[in-house]
Amino acid sequence: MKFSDTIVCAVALLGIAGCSSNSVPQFETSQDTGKLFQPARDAVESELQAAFGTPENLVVWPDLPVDFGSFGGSIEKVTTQGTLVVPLAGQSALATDERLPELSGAAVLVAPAAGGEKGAEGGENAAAVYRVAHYDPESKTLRVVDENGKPTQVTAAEGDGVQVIGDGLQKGRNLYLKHCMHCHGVSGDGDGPTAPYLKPRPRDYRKGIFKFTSTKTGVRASRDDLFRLVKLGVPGTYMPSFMLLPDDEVSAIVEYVRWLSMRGELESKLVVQLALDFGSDQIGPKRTFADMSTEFDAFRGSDLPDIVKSAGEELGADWSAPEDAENLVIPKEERVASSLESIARGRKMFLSEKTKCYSCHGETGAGNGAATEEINDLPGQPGVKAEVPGLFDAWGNIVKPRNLQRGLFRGGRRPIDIYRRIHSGIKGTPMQAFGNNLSDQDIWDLVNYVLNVPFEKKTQASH
Amino acid sequence: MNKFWPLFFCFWPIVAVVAFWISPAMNWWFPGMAMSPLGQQIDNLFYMILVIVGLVFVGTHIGLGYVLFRGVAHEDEKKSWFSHGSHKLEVLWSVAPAGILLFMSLYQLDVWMRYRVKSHFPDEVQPIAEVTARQFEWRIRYPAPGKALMPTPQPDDLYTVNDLHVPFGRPVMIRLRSMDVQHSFFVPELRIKQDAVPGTVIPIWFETVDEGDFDLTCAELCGWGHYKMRGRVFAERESQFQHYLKTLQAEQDYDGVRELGSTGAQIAEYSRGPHKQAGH
Ligand code: HEC
Ligand code: HEC
Ligand SMILES: [Cu+2]
Repeated sequence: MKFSDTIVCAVALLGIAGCSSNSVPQFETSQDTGKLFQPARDAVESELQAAFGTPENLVVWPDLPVDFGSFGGSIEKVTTQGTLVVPLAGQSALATDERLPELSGAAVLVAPAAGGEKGAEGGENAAAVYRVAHYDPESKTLRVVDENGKPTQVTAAEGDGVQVIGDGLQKGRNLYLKHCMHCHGVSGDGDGPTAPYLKPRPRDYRKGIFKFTSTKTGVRASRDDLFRLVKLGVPGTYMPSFMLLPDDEVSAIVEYVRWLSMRGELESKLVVQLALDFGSDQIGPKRTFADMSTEFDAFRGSDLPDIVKSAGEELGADWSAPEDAENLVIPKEERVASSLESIARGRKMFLSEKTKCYSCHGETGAGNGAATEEINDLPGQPGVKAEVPGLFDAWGNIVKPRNLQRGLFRGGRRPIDIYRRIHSGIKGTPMQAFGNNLSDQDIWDLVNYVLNVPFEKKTQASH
Repeated sequence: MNKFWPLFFCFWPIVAVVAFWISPAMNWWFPGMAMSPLGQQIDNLFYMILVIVGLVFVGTHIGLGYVLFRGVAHEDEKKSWFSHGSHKLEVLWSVAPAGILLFMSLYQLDVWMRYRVKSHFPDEVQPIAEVTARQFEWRIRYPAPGKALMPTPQPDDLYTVNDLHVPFGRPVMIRLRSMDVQHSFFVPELRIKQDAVPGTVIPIWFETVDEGDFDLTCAELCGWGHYKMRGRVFAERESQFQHYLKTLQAEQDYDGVRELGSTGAQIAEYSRGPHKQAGH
């Protein structure tokens, strides 16, 4: 009797331990990072930690063009140590009043009131940084802790300004973990628990490449693109529609997805720099671990900070570009009306040597063109042939050209969507941009043709 | 102590009756008032059955209680009387329930036929949308404004997902399909539940009595994401519904030239409404 009780207890304990260790979400490092030798791997991890933190403890890197969310107020009363009375108003775009209690963990900046005594004393209006432990909107009391989550003394006075930063990103994180993580993974690597069962695989955000964008070739996805995509889902794949999520929640998730992309990009930018000299496979008799470590220490002291800095600048530029109207694909001419003539011109263009659409999509648009049977180059490695026939996307998965007869458009079925697919290609896939070779008229004819493929037989029969 | 068992057996029926009595007030009852005339009739059928079953339940338990209490009160060892083999009693308790069942099945025929049998559908009802269930969402196809829904997709059809708009105050019909496995179109507030079966098209008609938005869920375990398969039925004024279709159409014909604006804002415009946001 007693013996079996102990077993039951032990099993129960195991269960609890097992659960709690799983339930703390953690960012994982990429496979490429794993190929570095240990000190370099550690360095990448610690840089990522410094710039992005952990899912539990997000870090605001102000260089990134991310709306981390921030709002503030000024202190009415300092009650006990660590507790301030602040009406927090003028909320950020991403946070709403009901969400205030969820603030815990967001960073708090307490800046002495401008022109106040302290400001004069501290010279540069130095702001102190804390974290929100709890906010009660009713009594407007804000309890703060220090950056390590320990109780702390707050040096603040009435009238000091309080800024809460990062609540938007936190909200995005919470929603992402709830709705998206099981497919796209905690780190956005497209490898969540349900991912192995899906085809096509959930997007791995870490390359910063998104397929269905409104932006020019080489430009990242805009917030609007991601917003729309999350609302509508990707028909014909397992990416579901989140149509009924409130807009502010979708915006917060989108911000978090962009941030995850930037994290992944920073990681691969660092790895690219390190892989040449500090791969674990380069350790050998000629170059021992100790040699490499000394070299690496020097590198880490001198070059690495600059690499991180310039990577941050690149990320800043890359991810602001899509928000610039200049970088959107906007047709100059209105859509040509979908007449039989236009469709016929489109078909001709589709079958022409100028576009070679047929080589992938097949002559009837069934997605069975000759290129799907050929041995092609591996993605991102021109000249290196794949072992199996087929077309590959940037993530190394085989992609089939769309069967246009089914009339399912993953990136949206509006004429402008198809126009953009043809104009700037489908990013990360072998379907390249045609915008430079084709006139607006040509593209609109192609659009009309593509939209008509599902009805081809009917239009021909009625002729 | 010899009263324990009679009390025990009387206690539970009383608990059951009290639970039923208070459950509407405790919100353990129906998911809101039936928002469709047919739904109200279905509720009435439910109440009718509840009354019949309730009367029988209460009656038999009073009888049972009476017998039990009398049994413990009698000290004398009178010989029991067994009814086993009584022809009259057996006829009575077979015929009476059969009669009640027959009554119920005849009584509900009218509602059932109006709900399920095509020839008894309201005359003027036309399909306004095709709803295709797939793992794990509801894809919706409308005809262009002013046109009738065709069985197969047309070039000017309008598409949306998870958000079924319908006009209220008149019967409307949807054509239900499934793209993969079996799903079930379940709108509790309208008292509609209909399986979507791959390979068939099933018409469902309903009429909503007022504007409002109603949860649409999948009521057939259809895979790991079954719980996510939520949508909304949004009943609005006829004019608003027509406006909605026009917005969908404008959105769907958008060629990027007519206005620059943010593409996200457009879709946001029609996914928003003067209603509670269905929290996912
Ligand atoms: C059931 C699994 C699943 C869930 C849940 C899911 N996704 Fe996806 N997602 C996918 C798949 C599969 C794709 C790939 C589609 C493709 O390649 O065409 C994808 C693609 C994407 C893309 C890339 C689109 C592009 O243009 O390249 C984004 C962005 C995205 N998902 C965001 C989200 C967000 C945000 C959430 C949560 C709100 C989410 N996903 C939830 C499966 C999922
Ligand atoms: C090198 C092969 C290749 C060529 C050439 C090509 N495509 Fe594609 N196309 C693809 C692939 C692969 C996809 C599927 C991409 C994905 O979603 O992963 C695709 C998808 C599409 C889609 C579907 C977009 C959506 O939203 O679902 C359309 C439309 C399309 N192509 C039209 C064209 C037209 C028109 C041309 C010629 C101007 C063309 N393609 C040339 C490979 C090609
Ligand atoms: Cu389902």
